[in-house]
Amino acid sequence: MEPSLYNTSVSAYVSGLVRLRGFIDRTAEHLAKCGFEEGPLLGRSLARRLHPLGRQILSACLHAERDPARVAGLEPPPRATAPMTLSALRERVERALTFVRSIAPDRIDGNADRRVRDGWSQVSGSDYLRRHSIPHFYFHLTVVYITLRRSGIPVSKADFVGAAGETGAA
Amino acid sequence: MPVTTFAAANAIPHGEPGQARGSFPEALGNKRVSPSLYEASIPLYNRGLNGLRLILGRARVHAGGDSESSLLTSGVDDRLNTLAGQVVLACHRAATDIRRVLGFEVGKRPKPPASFDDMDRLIGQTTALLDSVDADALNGVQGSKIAVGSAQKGTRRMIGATEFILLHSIPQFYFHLTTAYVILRYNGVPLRKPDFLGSSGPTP
Repeated sequence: MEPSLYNTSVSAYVSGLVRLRGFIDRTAEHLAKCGFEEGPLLGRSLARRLHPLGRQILSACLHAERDPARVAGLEPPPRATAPMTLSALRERVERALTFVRSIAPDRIDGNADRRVRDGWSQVSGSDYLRRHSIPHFYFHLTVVYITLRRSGIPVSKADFVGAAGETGAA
Repeated sequence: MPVTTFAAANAIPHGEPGQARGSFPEALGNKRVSPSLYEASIPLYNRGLNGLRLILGRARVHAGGDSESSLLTSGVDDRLNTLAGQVVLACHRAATDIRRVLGFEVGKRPKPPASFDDMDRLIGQTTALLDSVDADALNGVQGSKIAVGSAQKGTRRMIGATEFILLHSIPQFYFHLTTAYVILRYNGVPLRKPDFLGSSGPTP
């Protein structure tokens, strides 16, 4: 693997979205086993003015789809706010995965210098993905993870990092 | 004192004296070069740690300036590390993963700092350490292999250094940064969106 902009962003998003899908599956299994409803869980927020779980899942999808699309000069898929059910959110993650996987590496690596709008300023595609997009994506992924942990869903740090959880420290 | 040990244990030996030190983005100038492992990792860790320093500064103000505030031992879940623990893990992650890739022995994880002063010092030491990394040395080991996973669980495997940094180290690094941020928000510290990472922060 090369440390290209594509691998830094898109490959990381593919890997992260696969984990996000795993979180959703783990949650669905657990809720089915316990007979709990998913509504209250998806509406659960970790802190005042922090979006609830369902919206955090959606935000991760939106960053993964829209940020690389902007750099690549591609039309991103419509925002499509999925209904707040686990199955709809799982489909939403699948859709994000399909789109993100369809982005050709050249579209990202070849547009690293392309100027894109970030808020009120113009930044390079490379800075946009590295400084803005990646922190946002991992922010939402982590908030999803912590919300599930706090809600008693048996997700572990190994689910977050795959086989790399060598320290086991959470 | 654990923080001093951390710096000493993790100091990164230099190559030849006078060898060009890599910096970002000045070293790249206007010339289009293919991105290097250095470019893809060091500035990112440093930005993250600077953002962490910023939110801890705001937390300290919120705690009325108390350096040994109970915020340090606050968490968001019993099975997740406390604020001080997350700060140590973020620093340790960045420092030891880069050291591993460079082929150096990994230092011991320091104990969680007991004060905001200690956390600030630890972050300062970590960014200084990252700044001392020789870009050519780091780029020279892009192809090396790193062991990940656990031998006991039978998940141990070898992956490339770049994959290790991009898909394992950086996600975990952000995990600890985000968890520290969430612990502060959870405990009522009035952080704003842009506080997470300099000028561009996460949506709420």
